Amino acid sequence: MTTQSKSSRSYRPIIYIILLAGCLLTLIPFIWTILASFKTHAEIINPANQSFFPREFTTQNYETILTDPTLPLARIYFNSIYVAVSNVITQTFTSALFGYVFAKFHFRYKRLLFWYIVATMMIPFQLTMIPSYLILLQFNLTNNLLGLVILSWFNAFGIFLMRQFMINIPDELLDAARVDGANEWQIFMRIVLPQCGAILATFGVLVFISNWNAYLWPLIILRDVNVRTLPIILTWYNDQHTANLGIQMAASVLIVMPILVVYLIMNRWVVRGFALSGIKG
Amino acid sequence: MPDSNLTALMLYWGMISGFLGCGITPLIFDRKARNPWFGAVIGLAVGIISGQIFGRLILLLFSNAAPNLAPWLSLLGGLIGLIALWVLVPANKETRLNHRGFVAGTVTPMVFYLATLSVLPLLWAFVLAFFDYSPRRVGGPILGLGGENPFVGFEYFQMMLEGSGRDGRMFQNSLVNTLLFTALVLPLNMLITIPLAVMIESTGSRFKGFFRAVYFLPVVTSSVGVAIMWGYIFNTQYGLLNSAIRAVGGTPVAWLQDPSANILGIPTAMVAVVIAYLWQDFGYNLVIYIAALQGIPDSLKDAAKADGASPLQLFFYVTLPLLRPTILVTSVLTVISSFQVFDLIQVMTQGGPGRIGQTRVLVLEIYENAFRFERMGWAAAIAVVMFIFVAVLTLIQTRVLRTNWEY
Repeated sequence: MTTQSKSSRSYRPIIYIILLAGCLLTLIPFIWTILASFKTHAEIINPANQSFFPREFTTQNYETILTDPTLPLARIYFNSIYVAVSNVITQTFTSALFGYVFAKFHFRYKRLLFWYIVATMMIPFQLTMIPSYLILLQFNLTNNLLGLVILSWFNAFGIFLMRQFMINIPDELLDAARVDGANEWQIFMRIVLPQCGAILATFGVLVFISNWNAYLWPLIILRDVNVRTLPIILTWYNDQHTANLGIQMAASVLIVMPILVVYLIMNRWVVRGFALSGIKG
Repeated sequence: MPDSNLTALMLYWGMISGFLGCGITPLIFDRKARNPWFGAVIGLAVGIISGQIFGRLILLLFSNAAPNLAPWLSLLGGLIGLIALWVLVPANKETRLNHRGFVAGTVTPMVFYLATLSVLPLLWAFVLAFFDYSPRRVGGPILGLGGENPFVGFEYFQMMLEGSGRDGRMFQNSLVNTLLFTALVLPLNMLITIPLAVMIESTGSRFKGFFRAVYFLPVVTSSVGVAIMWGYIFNTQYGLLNSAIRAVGGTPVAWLQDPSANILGIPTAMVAVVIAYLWQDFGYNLVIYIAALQGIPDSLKDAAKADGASPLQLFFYVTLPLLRPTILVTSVLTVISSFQVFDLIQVMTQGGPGRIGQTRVLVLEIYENAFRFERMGWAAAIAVVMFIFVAVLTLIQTRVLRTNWEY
């Protein structure tokens, strides 16, 4: 026993070195981007004069972006927050509600309906996006942020997750409330919802991140600059500044960093959520 | 908000009134000791019908007096019929309360929603695959099909199978690229994540959290951001990689632009997007493996250690076999998600380089055909083929998941 722990202890430094090297590799693209955003244009485009750290520190790139009249940055941050928060509110609410209904009530065709909802998880979005676009066209909701909200009221994974959780809420608790004269909506809002705060928060963070980073669907339906969300404004803006990498990198930093800050604050919940989900964001 | 477009308004009248009807009526029927499910169906019908009738009436009445307000007011049209229904339905004399209003009042709106915004698009996608459809052309009365958007039968699927014409070749190219991308991502991902997870799991708990947090950082990063960062690293003139190559005296490579540059026969552009994708994605599987490793009982490891197993033997003969179910699940998930790769490639290479596109993948092909060239029928047909691939993989996954695994 002692010899074994000694031999595994001798591996320790190597393991830490590998892991730290891995961390460095993971962080280098971020660091390189952040550093490049503080370099002058002249430095970036001079192949003979490349360096990892800026030779001449400048905030010119950020100033250019923040004062650019063609880029309503505050409006676009608002759009992204609006879409992500709306989706978090609707999806956490419907997931809790239908998780509860599927866990605690019996009705005809319940299994069929539940099976259908779970089956929608395996339908790739790329299949339904074309008809969904045609439907939004009929609703006059293309080029409108509402189009990013009304088609995703229900999250199949959320309903599934909440059902698994709600099954464990004791029936006696609900029956006691019924005897006391609470109606079913009151029971749901006052007894069931408060119990699933932690799991709803975990799920909510996942929904927030995936909506914040969503690219394909916003790209399809949002056409005007004013209604766009951050990821599509980033590609649009960079297409106009293909020659100026410093500005591109500064724009990336402005757009990528907020979510990383959210992540670093809520790190524990985010990681647990992704591990639970078995689906990718 | 709908302006004067009548079709859109009619849809709003139907949807909003339908929702109100089947959501609230069951509660009222329940209170009046009547069957709430019956109430849901009646409420849905009354809501939709009265929405159309009264919505139009309100629109006509107010269109002169308050043209801006009229569309908004007309949305409330359905309530006129519904309130009448709610007031007029007589209470049942036998007071038998069954408390089913809640279930009927929540499930029916959901079914209504799913039928219109989930089942319909699904079926529509399959139908579109058999038509030469473009939203610009005037089609027949049902979903704009027929007329100038003719039925083409299995022509699209035949084109894909035979690779005939430019479209067929483009499809086959994108399918091959997608398969190549997936075939590269899967093993590399596993080779990175499994040993890394084992190493992280073996460290002290304080560092474990730190490593996990850092390695997970790329997963939450926007894939557009990832594409731009890596696009800069692979940039021919100013990129980090070519700067490093120059520093050691090598010749720089046009990683993303040169169609003839390759590594072991794989185009460098493909290698670049695979690397960027791996970097963004590996933290996800890593977290799953760490969770799985924590589930392995210590007694097994202790027993192996007591028998004199070295750490490497421990890994190959104890840990790896026990991870098998997790490896299967993560493999299928990784395959499914890399099959649907889009953001990274659209931003980094736009499908290029080369004449037919060395990194053009299926979703890019679907996106460009549907929304750039407005050939939605052809795009839907490709999407159907992709769906079949993903569905088969998912079925395999559920089979794997259903098997009972025991340590």
